Amino acid sequence: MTRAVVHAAALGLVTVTALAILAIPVALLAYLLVKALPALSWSLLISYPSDGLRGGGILPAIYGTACLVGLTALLSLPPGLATAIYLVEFSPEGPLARLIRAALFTLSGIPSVVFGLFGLGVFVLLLGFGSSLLAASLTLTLLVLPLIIACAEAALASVPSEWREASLALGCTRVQTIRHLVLPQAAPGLVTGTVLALGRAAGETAPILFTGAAFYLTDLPRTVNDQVMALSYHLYVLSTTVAGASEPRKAAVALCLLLLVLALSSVGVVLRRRYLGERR
Amino acid sequence: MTVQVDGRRPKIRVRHLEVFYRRERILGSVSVDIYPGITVILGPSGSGKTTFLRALNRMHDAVVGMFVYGKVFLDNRDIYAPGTNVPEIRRRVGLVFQKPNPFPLSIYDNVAYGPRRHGTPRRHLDEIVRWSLEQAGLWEEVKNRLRAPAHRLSGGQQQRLCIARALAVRPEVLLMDEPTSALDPLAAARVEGLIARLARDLTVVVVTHDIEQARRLDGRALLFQGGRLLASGPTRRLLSSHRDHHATSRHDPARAT
Ligand SMILES: Nc1ncnc2c1ncn2[C@@H]1O[C@H](COP(=O)(O)OP(=O)(O)OP(=O)(O)O)[C@@H](O)[C@H]1O
Ligand SMILES: [Mg+2]
Repeated sequence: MTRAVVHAAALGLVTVTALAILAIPVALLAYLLVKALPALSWSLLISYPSDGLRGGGILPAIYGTACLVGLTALLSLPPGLATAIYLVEFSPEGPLARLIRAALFTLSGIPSVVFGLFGLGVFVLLLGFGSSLLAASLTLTLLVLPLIIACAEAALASVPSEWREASLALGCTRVQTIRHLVLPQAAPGLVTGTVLALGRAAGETAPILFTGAAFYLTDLPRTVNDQVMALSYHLYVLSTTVAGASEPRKAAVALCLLLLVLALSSVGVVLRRRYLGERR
Repeated sequence: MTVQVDGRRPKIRVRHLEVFYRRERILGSVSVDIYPGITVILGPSGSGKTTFLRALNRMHDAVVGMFVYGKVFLDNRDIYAPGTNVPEIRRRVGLVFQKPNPFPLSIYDNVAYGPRRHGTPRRHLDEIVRWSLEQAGLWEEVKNRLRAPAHRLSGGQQQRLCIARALAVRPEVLLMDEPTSALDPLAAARVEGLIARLARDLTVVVVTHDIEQARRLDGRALLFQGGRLLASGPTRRLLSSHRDHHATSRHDPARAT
């Protein structure tokens, strides 16, 4: 009797919690949507800012964030995946692996502003890239690398060793086994991790503040040496520096950022499906 | 010194084989000849049967902390000699694991996995897959659903699929670690018949806990105990002279590999 009550109560609690978790993103999205409604229009997405950022569109910021995310992906994925493969497949217990893990652990605990200052010192000044898309993306790369490696490591490690042994026992080399068995099996996890990390990169302000984010551009960046506007930094600017920026406008910028990250996630979901589908 | 049995030369000659896990010796020292046809490996749980089997195609290389000493001659070439092409050795000496471990791919892709990696032309794959599945006695059951995922097969079918997968790379030696222990009596009987058939063309080494099965398979036997080779010889003779030893290995519930 009491047991049944406890059981029912526990089930209820779990269900309520699960629903509450579901409610968070929905509520957030609804709140932003309602607040941004007066400012929403096509021209917001496809035109340049005007009136000291108070009016016009936010095309350069959308484009800039897309560039930052894209370049960060290009810069962080190859070394991230290579490191994870080394850690999982080649030397899981070696001294170098232990050292790398310690370094990654340290790196993941560093506040993002510190990355920003480091990027300013090293990429912008020391290496002479200047405040640019390249310097900002490199800084974001440092920020997301630990996350990408950790996710990739988990994805690779989740492939059972029995399958690796079976592949080796058929006379396949270690490289063949990784290329044709481990990577395809780990692909869904790899995609998820990458999307997670890039979503994080898209939302960061501090790392790009000193390394490549522009206050106001009247043109889109043409090379990686140009500065870029970015949604995250633009929102920060609207909230702190620009007097008289309307609330709906701020909400609209936040909504764009959120939708961009969501779009990124759906690309991830589609890719995952494709990989999972191939196995059936 | 090579003893010939029925006028046949040994396919594998093991000399002073020792296996260490970190500081601990878990097998050794083993010297024995393995002939074409069937060799069964008997012995209680933890006696080193799997360890010995894995030493015959260098599977211990893949495990951190495992060290192998001694020589294993495959057709007179030591597979532990420096500069040996290890994947090539493993292609020639196949291994079927105790637990069925099909890849999470289709039935077809499981069997075709090895040939594909070894550069078999596409147009030959269908034929190889069919031949391998026939050899493993699985073709009739799966010929209409080759694209179905392998994990939907029953345990016994999965084990035969793993045998087909191993056969697809045309090994000269097939090592099998308790291939029937996870199966019901009927499925076990099928796999046993299959082993007997394969042994006509290949060198087959089978670990088993089933004394009756060993007797039926006939051939030669190796009896392990406590990480050492206790005896070897024709199965029937070995079984009658070591009744008390193999008795300990019957119906052993705690079998971990
Ligand atoms: N990967 C490993 N790491 C550490 N010790 C191992 C490993 N593999 C085997 N051993 C040890 O080697 C000894 C022999 O094990 P092995 O698996 O060869 O026994 P077995 O005869 O196959 O037993 P079973 O009939 O239970 O499968 C055991 O004492 C075991 O603890
Ligand atoms: Mg075993």
